[in-house]
Amino acid sequence: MFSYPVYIVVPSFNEQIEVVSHTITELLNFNPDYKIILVDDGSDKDLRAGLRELNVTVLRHKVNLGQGAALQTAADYLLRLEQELIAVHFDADGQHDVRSIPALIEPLQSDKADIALGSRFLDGSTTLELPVFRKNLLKVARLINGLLTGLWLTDAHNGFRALNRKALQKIRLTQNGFAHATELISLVKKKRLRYCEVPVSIRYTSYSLQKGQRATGAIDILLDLFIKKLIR
Amino acid sequence: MIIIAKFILLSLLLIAFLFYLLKVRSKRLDRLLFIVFFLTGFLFIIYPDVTNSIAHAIGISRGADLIFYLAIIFFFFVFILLYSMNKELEKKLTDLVRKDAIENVNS
Repeated sequence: MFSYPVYIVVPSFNEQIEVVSHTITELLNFNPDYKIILVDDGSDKDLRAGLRELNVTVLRHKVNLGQGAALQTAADYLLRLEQELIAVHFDADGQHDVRSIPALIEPLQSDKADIALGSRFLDGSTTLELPVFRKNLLKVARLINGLLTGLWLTDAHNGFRALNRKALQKIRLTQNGFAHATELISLVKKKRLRYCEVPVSIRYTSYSLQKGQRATGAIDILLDLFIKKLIR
Repeated sequence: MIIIAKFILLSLLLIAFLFYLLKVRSKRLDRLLFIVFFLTGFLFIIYPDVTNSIAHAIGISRGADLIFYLAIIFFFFVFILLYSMNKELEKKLTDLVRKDAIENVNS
């Protein structure tokens, strides 16, 4: 079993600098060998100023493009490194639990999968109870995602993932907005990547819950993807 | 008999159009289609009775109705066109911002 270098990709748009700083510190405290790639997606305040003492690589979009674009920029950057590696998608707001990372990357370290998808619903490891509205919304999202991508996952919209180099190469995200999650999954199927779901722990703090995801986001995703089918 | 003929003709036209939208599209063909639409519109203005003849031939009662249906198809086409152009612009913007981000990493 080979140990590949682990890069933690943290996309961020207008998160409070203290929150981002705390997330990065927590990651480095958990494992100092993790290399942090922060993608500042055109935040109003340039994050680089507040992160100078921390050991983190920052890629900054001069304008906001969307989370999908941020992840793809990090992927392009990492692919320039001539080595086999593991990239972990990790939220900046502290929702993702660092302690879930080892389990998430294990299938990649042992070369059993190309991409590991985190799931909140595999073994009930999510600590806080999800509000009912959110739960039902996720059920609908799961159905739509399953129908659109042909891949039936237990957690359709989980941003906690790990990819190896092959997955990074094969998955080119063209959807800049929230539809990138669905595009990613459909590419996993299309490019025949070996995938697996791994239980991860998500912490819902009052800070992250009030952010949430717009219910209309689902409509944007559908619109984007359906119209895309009409264009070439 | 006319009803069947109308049905077949319309179906063929619709399939051809959809096929074009989904598979064959190209910038040149788009422009050609656009010009064809405009010339047709021009023709209909100069010879409004033509619309009636064509309409009757395919089983629609009035030329005005025909123009209405054609207009709907035209707007749908324009929407797809505009959406594509927007997507292309978005891609250029993304590529530019991404290139700049990677070139200026950490600085």
